[in-house]
Amino acid sequence: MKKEDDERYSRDKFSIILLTLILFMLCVMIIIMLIPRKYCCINQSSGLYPNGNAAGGVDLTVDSNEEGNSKVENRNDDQGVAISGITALTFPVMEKEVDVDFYNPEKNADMFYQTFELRLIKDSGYETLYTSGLVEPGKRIEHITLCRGLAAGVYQAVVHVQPYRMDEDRTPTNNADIKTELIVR
Amino acid sequence: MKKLLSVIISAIMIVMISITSFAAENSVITQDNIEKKGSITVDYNMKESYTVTIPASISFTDTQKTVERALQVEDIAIKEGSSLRVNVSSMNNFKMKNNDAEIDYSLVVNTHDIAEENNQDVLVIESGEKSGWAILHFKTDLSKNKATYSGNYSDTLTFTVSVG
Repeated sequence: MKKEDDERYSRDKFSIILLTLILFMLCVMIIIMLIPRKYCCINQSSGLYPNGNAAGGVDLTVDSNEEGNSKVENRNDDQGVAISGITALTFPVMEKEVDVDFYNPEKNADMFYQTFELRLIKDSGYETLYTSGLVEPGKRIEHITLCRGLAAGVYQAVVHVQPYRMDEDRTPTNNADIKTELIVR
Repeated sequence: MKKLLSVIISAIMIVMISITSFAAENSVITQDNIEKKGSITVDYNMKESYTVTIPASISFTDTQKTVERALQVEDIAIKEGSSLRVNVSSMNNFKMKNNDAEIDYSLVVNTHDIAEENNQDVLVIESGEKSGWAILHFKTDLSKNKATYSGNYSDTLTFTVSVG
């Protein structure tokens, strides 16, 4: 009698373990199906951020010595910085988690990082909805978190693209504002 | 316990079978419709796109007082009837600054002095064109007498691109 009880107890224990495993695997599958995009995005807190160097894209160094400033680095021979056009953006109403396509072209390889800032144009100035970290050439941002959701409507927006040289100083260069229509529906 | 396990596994199997069935819902072929003619619509929604290449920097020196740089737009796909425009603005109103000291410079495109005519387009490309370019002529009236202090003088240009 005791042996039968032991066997039944073992079978029940095995069944419980099997059931727990199946439920666990099912939960994992559901979670993976629900949040696949989280793993496609560039990590915004990856530590790649500009260092705030204030040098701009137009410069002149006045040297007080007799030789003049001919020894100053001449940067006129770069091929320019490629910036990918951004057309209309469409976001869901009052949603902070949205899809975009902010791309730093492959053409900038070994030369320029880029940051992207989404600005909502207002009567007086603009409101920044999102700011990225440095994006490497050939990489893109596909999913962002806005600082707030937007009501339904059509808004005028600008994506401010700021390139940075891939040198130690991460020097900012001239930049671009891409005007775009932001449709919220 | 066995019964409970059987019920749960059965339920999971029913759910999985249902998911497969939903996937196949729109493409069922039966004996009733196999002889009927059908049609499909093939369409392609081409996304608007372009790549603009701006001069990263413009460096003047004692020996180089004029600089020519290209502004290019390539791989253009925009709506028919629309145009792509690029204009240039300067953070310091076309002056290179070192604290309070400043040195003027000019930007000329197709004989237009952009520093004088604020918000002037430097490049306009109509739909149908795949690419376009403009040469930007930068010039500074460089003189050490004008520069009060030695050091680095700088400005930043913003190229604004719009399609409409």
